[in-house]
Amino acid sequence: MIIWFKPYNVNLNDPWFEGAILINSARNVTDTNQRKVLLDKAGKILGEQVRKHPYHARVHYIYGVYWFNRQNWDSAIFQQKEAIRLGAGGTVNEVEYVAQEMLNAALSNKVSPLINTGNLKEAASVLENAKTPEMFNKVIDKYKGIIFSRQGNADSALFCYLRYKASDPNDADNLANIAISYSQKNMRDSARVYVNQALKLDPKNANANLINSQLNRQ
Amino acid sequence: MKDYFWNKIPLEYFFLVIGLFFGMKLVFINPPWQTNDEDRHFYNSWYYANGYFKPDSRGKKIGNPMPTKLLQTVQGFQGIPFNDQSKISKQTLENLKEVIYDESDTVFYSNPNYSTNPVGYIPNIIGVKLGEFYKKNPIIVQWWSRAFGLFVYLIIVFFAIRITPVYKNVLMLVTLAPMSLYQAASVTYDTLCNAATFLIMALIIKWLLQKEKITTREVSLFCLAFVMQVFSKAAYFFIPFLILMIPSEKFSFSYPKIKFVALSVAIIMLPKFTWAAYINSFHFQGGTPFQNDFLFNPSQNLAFHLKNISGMISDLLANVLTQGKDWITGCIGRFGYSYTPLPESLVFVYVIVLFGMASIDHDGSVKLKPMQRGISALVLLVSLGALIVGLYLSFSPVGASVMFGVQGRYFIPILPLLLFQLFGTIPNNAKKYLPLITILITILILYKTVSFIDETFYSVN
Repeated sequence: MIIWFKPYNVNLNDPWFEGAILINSARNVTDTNQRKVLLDKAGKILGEQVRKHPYHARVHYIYGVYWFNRQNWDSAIFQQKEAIRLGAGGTVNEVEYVAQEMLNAALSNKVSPLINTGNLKEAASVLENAKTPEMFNKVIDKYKGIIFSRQGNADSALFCYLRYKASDPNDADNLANIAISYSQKNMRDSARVYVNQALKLDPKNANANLINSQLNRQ
Repeated sequence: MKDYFWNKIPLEYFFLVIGLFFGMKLVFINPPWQTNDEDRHFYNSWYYANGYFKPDSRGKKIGNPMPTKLLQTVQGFQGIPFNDQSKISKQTLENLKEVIYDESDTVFYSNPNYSTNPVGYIPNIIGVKLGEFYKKNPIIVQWWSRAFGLFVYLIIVFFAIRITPVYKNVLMLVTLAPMSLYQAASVTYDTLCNAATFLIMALIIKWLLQKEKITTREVSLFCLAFVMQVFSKAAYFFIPFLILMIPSEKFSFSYPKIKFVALSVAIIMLPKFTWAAYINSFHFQGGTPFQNDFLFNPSQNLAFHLKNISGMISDLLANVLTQGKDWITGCIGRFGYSYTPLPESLVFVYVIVLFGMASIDHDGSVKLKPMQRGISALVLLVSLGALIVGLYLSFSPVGASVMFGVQGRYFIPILPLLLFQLFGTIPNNAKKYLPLITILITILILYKTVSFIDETFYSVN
């Protein structure tokens, strides 16, 4: 009867999930001060949990989510790499896919400004550091391709873009990037094939439209 | 007393008819591979039925080849969330009955359960083999496998109810409880484990009450059930120690209890020194972990909790209080991989019926001695404690306070022993009506169960 009707208010939760709940609450509040307080609490709990249980992939993942919310991309990438290293390969409750998703979001936020400001060497170093031997990450290929392309190395860029395409054939941005690389190599027919594919998938794609107009002018 | 028809026909025959009728309904109405872990139990049954007793390793993977269409069909039924938008269509099942798998088109399946011994799967293995003779269709073979598990369960429990002189109604209510029958009508080693444990319990009750000497043949049957139990699932090995309740002079041969304890330990260790030793001899490296997002390691977990024993005890009690209701529900009726429980009111009423029946289903002439009650209570506490602590250490991540993955169905084999604590506690002058009550309640709850499963898992179209 005690078990069925639960007369005692027993609250049992593991600290790592308390941390996750706090992050979730922080995301749902609009008041920035309150958000900061909640995130601070989560960070304190999760930092302690990661030190106490360095072998739990899920705890690293949640801590990585915390750093992402703090916009500390380096720490977010580091924690998600740990989550993938420890947790890849399970049959149920897989953590590696969500960890890679979060890693790529942090990577994008870190690398895109570097590429856009011309810090290509530093961007390449960040990408190299974000590699996970336990799990192939196609997004790294995509950004490496962009860096090679900016450096004028169309062959290496193409290699990266085509490898990315093998994993994700329907990414219009990547197809447009392939077209740009072929155009750089003066292989206009190949460029046109890919630009058409990109425009078919996303008629408003800016890069695809740009390279298309360039090809039409030539 | 035998004025009414339900008293003229022994209760075990009612058990057989009701069990077979509703069990076969569950075989077909329960969507394919929807019982907990049924997909993986089915893979193992299929492997053993097809002679794959030796796992193979390819890189880091350990497993064996499996027909591609078989694997694809099974995997197609996994991870269905079962809500109003997501249900199984009966027409889809009809269409899938046309699929034929071919052993020449195989994939290597990395089996996380490659080390599980085949004994617990024997009825399911026979079912798979016979099903394949009929038609090599994944769904049909799975139905045959389920049906054979059910037949073996019904036969063993039939004899358990037959041999126990009292407590027949309680045993029938436990063994035909929705979850017990649902498990029996699924591909799983739990079927054999549960049936063997019920048989052990019935033998003990019989020996407690019988005037004649216990023969070596009866003890051999007991040992066989014990072996079957430990090979099927090594989690309930304390229950056979109930034999210590039986006075030594009741045996027709010299019976030193210490020798029985030594024999029991040998039986408990049998799987370790036979099948486990065989698997270990391959020195496999790698393999696919079942769950890898947390670290699961019983010895590391024990070492962690031993640093704070009072905290561990308080966490265990808190887990019983917070999750206990779910465990009770799971013991009576929680279906599918998505853990869909029977309505609370039904479960509550059934629990009350079980406890009520356990208090009044007895022959007033039989009184248990305080020592016998003590041993029975001790075995119950040790069994429950070992199960809960074992699950806490092995199924929960290292250092976790909350117990992971404990399901009420794990308590089914212990349920008759729990109810036995109430034996003879309330006088009963209406014993002749008990079989009728048992039969009617069993039919009613199983009828509701079948309707509930049909409504929950299938779409109208």
